[in-house]
Amino acid sequence: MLEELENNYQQAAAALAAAEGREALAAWHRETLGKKGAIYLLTRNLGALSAEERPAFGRRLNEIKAELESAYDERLAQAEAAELGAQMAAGALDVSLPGRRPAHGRLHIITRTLREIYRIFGDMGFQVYRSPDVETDEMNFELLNFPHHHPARDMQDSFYTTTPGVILRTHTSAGQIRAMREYHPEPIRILLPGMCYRNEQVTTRSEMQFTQVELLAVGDDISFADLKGTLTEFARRLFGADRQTRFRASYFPFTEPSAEMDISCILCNGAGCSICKYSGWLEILGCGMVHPVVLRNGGYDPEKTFGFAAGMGPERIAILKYGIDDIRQFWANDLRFLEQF
Amino acid sequence: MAREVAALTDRPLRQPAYDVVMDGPPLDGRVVITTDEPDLNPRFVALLIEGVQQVPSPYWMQYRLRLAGQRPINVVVDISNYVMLEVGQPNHTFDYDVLRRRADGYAPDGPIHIHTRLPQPGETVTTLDGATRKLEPYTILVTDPAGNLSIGGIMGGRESEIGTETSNVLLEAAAWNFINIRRSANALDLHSEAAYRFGRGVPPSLALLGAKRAAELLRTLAGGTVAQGIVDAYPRPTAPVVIDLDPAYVRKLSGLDLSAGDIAALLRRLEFVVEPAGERLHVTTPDHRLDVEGPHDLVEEVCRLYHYDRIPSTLLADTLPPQRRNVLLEREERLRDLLAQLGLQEIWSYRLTGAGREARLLPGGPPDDRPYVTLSNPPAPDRNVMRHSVLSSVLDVAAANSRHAPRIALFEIGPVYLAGEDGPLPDEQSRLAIVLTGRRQGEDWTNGTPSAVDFYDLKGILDALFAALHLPVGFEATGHPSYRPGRTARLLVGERQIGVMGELHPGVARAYDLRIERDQPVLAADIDLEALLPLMPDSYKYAPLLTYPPVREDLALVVDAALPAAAVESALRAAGGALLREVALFDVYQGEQLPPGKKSLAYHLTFQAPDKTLTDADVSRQRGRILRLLEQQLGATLRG
Ligand SMILES: [Zn+2]
Repeated sequence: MLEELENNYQQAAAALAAAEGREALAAWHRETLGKKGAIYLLTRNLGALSAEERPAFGRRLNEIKAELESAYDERLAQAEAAELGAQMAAGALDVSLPGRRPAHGRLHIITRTLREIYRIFGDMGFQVYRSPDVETDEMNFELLNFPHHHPARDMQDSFYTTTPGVILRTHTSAGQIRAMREYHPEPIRILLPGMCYRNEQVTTRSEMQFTQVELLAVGDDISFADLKGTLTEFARRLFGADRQTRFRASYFPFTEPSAEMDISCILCNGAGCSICKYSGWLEILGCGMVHPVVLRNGGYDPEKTFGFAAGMGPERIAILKYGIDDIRQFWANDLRFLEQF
Repeated sequence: MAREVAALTDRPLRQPAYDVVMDGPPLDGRVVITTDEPDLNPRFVALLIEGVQQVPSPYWMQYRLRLAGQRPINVVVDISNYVMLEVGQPNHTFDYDVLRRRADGYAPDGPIHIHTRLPQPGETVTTLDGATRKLEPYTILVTDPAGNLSIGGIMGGRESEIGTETSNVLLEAAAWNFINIRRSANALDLHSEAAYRFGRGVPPSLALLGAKRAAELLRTLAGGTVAQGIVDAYPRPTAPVVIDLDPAYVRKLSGLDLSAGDIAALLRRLEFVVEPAGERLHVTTPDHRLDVEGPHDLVEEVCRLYHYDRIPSTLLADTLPPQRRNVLLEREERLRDLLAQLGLQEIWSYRLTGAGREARLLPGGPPDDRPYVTLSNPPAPDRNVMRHSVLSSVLDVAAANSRHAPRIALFEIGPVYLAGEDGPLPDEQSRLAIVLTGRRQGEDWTNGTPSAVDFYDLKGILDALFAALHLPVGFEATGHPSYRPGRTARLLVGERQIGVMGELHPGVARAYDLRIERDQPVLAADIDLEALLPLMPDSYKYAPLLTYPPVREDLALVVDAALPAAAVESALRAAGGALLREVALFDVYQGEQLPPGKKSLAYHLTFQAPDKTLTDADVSRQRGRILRLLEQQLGATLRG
């Protein structure tokens, strides 16, 4: 009896080892451990055993059943893993095929550049002040110390409207007087962004409309050294912490002293390349201390009040940052251009 | 220039010799000068050089002239040009014999009389280039009683021009008001080298120096003799400018820690005369510096000489001004972000347009008769006004892109320019324009050719936009000449119209030359941000999430086909009360299974209570109430 049990056990273990796949394993389980299975059938013969033999046989039978069940579970887990593995192997993808791109929108490169300028100067307490595109000659020139027939007007070929004294602003400096008259005698730290217009031939390098951001600080204690420090800080945050700046004497009617700020070339770091025309420097903005005449026109006492102003072109900044070769792209809005940013 | 180099390098300036040897007979009584307008012509200096030989100018002079881009002509003209370059003083040479012959007509025994004056009405002048020119009332003429000789500071006259026969030269050097020279040169369209230089300001002191330098060169290089005496009409000599300079002001403006002595030393290098006066400095400007007017000009000189790069860099330590929000800008920027998130590409387009370009938006409609801001010098005939419509600009960009892009989804936020109610400036109003056309998605290998966008794509973008803004906006069918009838809606916040959206009229799409496939719609929206931005709420309340389980019910209602779905939904929400949390339309049917003139709208309704689990009885009570009310209000019936 016990011998038969051991035989059946040996056979069942061999059959389990030979069974491949979940179906074969299920069949083995049915045939071996099921209600009509070989092991179970032996229990029917328990009655034929003597009372002394019965406990040992019963113990052994339970041991065998437990071992077979556990071996079965292990085989089943192996089989399932193998099956899943085969399934996944069959489902391999060409990971190099392109993905499904969701259509997504973008902000125009000028919006993004303006925001970068706002953010950097915003950290230094400058806030955005907007003024109109269509301006009076008075705001755009006269009150900024450009009298009629002044030579500096020639550099800014204006678009005139059919209303006398009304032009398209040639620079966002035109908003300086508006801001000063609104805020005096309080100190001012503002950014004047906006579209400007000059009657110039449209080429890869010049446009009839362009954006500008003017920076204006007015207060009791503002010096040329502050102007240098503020603009150098800006250049380093925008173009990298290792940027060098250089200030050259210049002339604008509404600032004195006036300067042009250059940054060390972002491409060659000053070594000289075609972008910086082998000078190592890139012109980035014009600036200066607010002219006493302008301060007075804005309602401030120029003996007690000081200020600085700077004007920069977001297109110029984007052109340098991204190596854009044609300024007309900004307003042409070709999607193949816009989608690169 | 040489002065600048000397000052920047702190070396003595090398100046030309201004001494002239007067070895001829006296000039006295031979020439008199009258200047009528000392403001416009402050100084007029004349010297006479007789017996000038017509020899070529020396090689060194020709060489230097060529280096400066000037063509050598003859010794007299070359000297005149050379002095202009060297001294910076344009000057003019008259044929003295011609002037004398003319004087024989008006004063046979008297002197030549040079007279600078404003023109008489209608007076003309014939210039060196042979043209006869009409004069502006402010342009100064150099004349004698016999007629005109030249246009002061701009161009000489024909008759008194130096010829090959000339041996006696009357040399003139004068000072002119630079602004008057500029406007005269512009009005006459005469842009001579002299006008360019005078137009940038030449100090009166240089007239005498230039005249003497030229006379001496004519004597030494052309063999002339210089008549003794100088005729110098200078009725109101410019007083030297003396500036009271506070060194503390220099320190504050420059940020440089300079002593009064440091400042004085720097200014002296630029030929300023500096005298200490207590704490302050009295600075007398050299007479060649017309540009120095006040203390700030001196600070510029100090900074420049100190060298900008040596000035320290500091951050602003001044009081931080009151911080002011720019709410409208913040809201515009929020709109930009949301629209980009919703899949639209932002553009910035040209703001100059033409009335004809914008008229394409109104086919057959009444023309836009609001006045435009119009340019008097437009860059092109069809770019002569400031736009009234941002949508028109966006459509032009959409058309350009339609040649290559399968999907176009654009927006622009920017101003339009409407003639102002008060004052000369227009009202600049902010607008949002959206244009949507082409494929719904990019084509890729997984989806073949995606379907084209339609009205409900744009509607969905706007729905999502206003939901994100927490601003309830209604859409109401309307008519508009730019849009296709029956597919146009006006956007309402309460009773206030904030914009129009819809499918563009096919005629408009054609007029803008949008290269789209047949029957593919172009969707557009034009929203008035002057109306929308102030309505955008700055904050809104959070709705707590409910924990009791929701109950979902489907409800298909049959209503008149003409009834707007929005009316059904708002009636549903009103009837459902607080327990009805969500209403989602999932099917619209109109067809043979329904009586004609009817449509079915099928909704998923979600009921949920904040404080308990709803029972079937609760929900069926709500459902019954909804059906009853909708039948009463809209004649709606349950679809069987
Ligand atoms: Zn470089």
